[in-house]
Amino acid sequence: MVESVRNILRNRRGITPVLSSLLLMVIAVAAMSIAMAATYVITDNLHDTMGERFIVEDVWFTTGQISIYLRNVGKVSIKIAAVYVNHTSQSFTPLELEEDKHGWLNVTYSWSSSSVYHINVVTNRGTKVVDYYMSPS
Amino acid sequence: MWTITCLRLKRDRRGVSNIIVVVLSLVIIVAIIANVVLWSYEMNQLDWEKIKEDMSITNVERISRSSWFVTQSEYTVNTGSHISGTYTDTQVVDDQYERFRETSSGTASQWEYAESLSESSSSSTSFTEKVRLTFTPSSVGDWLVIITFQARHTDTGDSFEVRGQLDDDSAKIICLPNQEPEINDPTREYRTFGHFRVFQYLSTSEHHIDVDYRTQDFGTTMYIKNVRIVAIQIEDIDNVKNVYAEYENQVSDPGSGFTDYAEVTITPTDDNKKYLVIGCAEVQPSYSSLYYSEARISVDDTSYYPEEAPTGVYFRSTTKDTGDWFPLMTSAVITLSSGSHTVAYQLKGASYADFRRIRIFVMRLDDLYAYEYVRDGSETSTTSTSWQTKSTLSFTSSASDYLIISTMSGQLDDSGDSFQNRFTIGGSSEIDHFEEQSDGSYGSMQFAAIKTLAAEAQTFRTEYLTLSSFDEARVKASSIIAIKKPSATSNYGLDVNGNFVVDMSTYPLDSIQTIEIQLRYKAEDAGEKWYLKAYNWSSSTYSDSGFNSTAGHTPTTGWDYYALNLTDKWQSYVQDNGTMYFKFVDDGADSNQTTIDIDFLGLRAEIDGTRFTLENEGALTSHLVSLWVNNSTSHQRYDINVFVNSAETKIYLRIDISLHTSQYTVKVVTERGNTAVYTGS
Repeated sequence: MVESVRNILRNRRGITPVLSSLLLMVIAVAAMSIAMAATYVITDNLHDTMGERFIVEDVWFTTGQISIYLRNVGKVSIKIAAVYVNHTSQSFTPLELEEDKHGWLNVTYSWSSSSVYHINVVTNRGTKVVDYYMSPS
Repeated sequence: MWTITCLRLKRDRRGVSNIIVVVLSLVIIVAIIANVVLWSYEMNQLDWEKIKEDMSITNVERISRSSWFVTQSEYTVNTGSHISGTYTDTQVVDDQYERFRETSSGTASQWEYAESLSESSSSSTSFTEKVRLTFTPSSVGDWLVIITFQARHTDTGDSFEVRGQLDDDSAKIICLPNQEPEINDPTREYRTFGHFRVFQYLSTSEHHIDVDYRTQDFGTTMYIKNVRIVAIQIEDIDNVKNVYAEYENQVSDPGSGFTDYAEVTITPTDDNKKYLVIGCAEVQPSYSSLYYSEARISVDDTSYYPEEAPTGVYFRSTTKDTGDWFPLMTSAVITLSSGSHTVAYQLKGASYADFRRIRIFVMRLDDLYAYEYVRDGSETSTTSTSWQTKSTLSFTSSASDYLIISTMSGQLDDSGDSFQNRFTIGGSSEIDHFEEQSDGSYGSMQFAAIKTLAAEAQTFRTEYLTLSSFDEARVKASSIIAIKKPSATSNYGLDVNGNFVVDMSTYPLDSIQTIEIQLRYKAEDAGEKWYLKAYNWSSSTYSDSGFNSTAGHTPTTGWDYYALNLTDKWQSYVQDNGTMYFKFVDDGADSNQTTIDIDFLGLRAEIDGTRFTLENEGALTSHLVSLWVNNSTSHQRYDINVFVNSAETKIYLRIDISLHTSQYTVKVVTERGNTAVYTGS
């Protein structure tokens, strides 16, 4: 053992290539990890966005409020980020729906009878369901 | 090789780096494809399926009644009798029905009788009428007809024939015996003959029973006397009190062991009650005295009538003419325990033995009739030429009509001589059976009549003798039965129960508003009311309390509908599992014996629900997950779990959904996110 250490110290010309190889290897692995992580982040977000589907089962105009019944028919959970009525953002009760879940989204809005409303429901991933709904007379 | 490759890689390291970079790039590309492109493909497939889905609602309607619930088991007849059909005939309104008939808690009492005791002769080969009994049943019912007579032929080579039949109908022949005598001597050969038959459901129109006679051979003469026709109405054949079976077709060569023919099963509900049993058959042993036919009545294959004596012989008949048909009839009073019993007329015979008109009848005596009887099954013998008593029935009669039946088996120990059996009332002969013994035969004397007796002591006897003291006359199975005619009764009734079950899984108790009952039936007469009652689980009785009508229904004699509603008291009549018991009963007993045909009896629940007609016109099965019923003031959502196959139309019933009276919109949402809409009002 002592003899082996003496041999290494005596032959210093072999250390530099080894160290440089190790350093290159570490750099390569780090770069690869960064690339993979970036790929995962980019594609996972894309993956969720593509898997998002929801429908409006029903819209009910009640006093000072428009209730929208949503059903998550996609492959990921959704969270409602914004609701636009006639292109104007409105306040609403927060709603998150897991896969196959459904529930009321209550939008505070003073609607008028027998009027057509353009309602746009947008998730936090940007998926939206847009349609026209007519209020009761 | 490996060494050379390694040396080359060491020499050109830049190439290795390029390969590593390319491979890693490929890994990243594959990951992207796997995570994005394939996922995109899956979601596109989802969208494509959604596009292809095509659900629609074609109809929405309010339902106020469930479907009909009918009995799934046979009705129980508490009073009355089941005539024909099964409970399945009462499940739908059609031409199929189940028939019941009222029975009397007393006993049927119409008895008819005719006799012609004088001797008549005929040299014609055409039938001549000896006596006719004409009668009109007061109600549709079952009748027992017994015919007994004495007949002989004057030519030992020729035969006579006697025919008893109902309404000149060849399908209703009671007896058709014929015989070639052993000897032309009325003091040695003048046999008795007897046969019976039960006619069921005899109508109330006029009927007649004839006894006709003839010689079978032109230019010869036959004689007939002591002809008696008994016809009595009996209780219905119900397999509990009365039971009857007949085997009219010819049986040839039944084999050397006894085999059941005309077998009946009777199931008394009471223990140790007396029953009258009568069995008969016409036998044709064949042309040679070597051949024979034997018969007996079997009760549960443990008791036999007539009794066996001598060993191996019960009834036995030989003959000398191939065309002869002898009747073998016997009667007995037996005791039956409760439970199932098999009673049969059993036959056996050597080769060429034939039998026909095989009949067996069992009739309850206890609790229905006043009767006296004596029976001696043992074999006794005599060499006396004067009358020896076999059985004596002594009793004090009432001033009434009595049905008297007497049978006895007799033979002589030697062929070529004669013996005599007779039945007497008060010492006066009613019928004398003369028979010249033929090889091995052990036949029977047969007597049946209806006599009007005074209220006094009676002595009935069976007697026998031998016409030659060198020969021994033997008798066995001596039976005398006197049944008093029951007094007229007029209390016919019917009481039938049926079990029904409401489907609680489809129509829970809390969705039912009330129960409706509907009966479609036809009554033979319109003289009494009929009631439907239900079992009240609270009071443990059948009742119609709380029904919308408790007045009953008066039939029209045609097909009638009788519908009832249990109002808000229906819950007392429905068990938690949906079981209901119903009773169909008449308005007390009356003098008419009514026949009831039930075409339909069912119940249904009154509810307030909605029926949705869903049609899938797409190519994929649709899974419906959400149902909306909206109107201007209400948006009501219901979770549903309905699968509709491609090209299928499905009826979806919801008894918890009540349709709005104003305009409404119904929507169903599929799992894929499509919506079908129906608007109605």
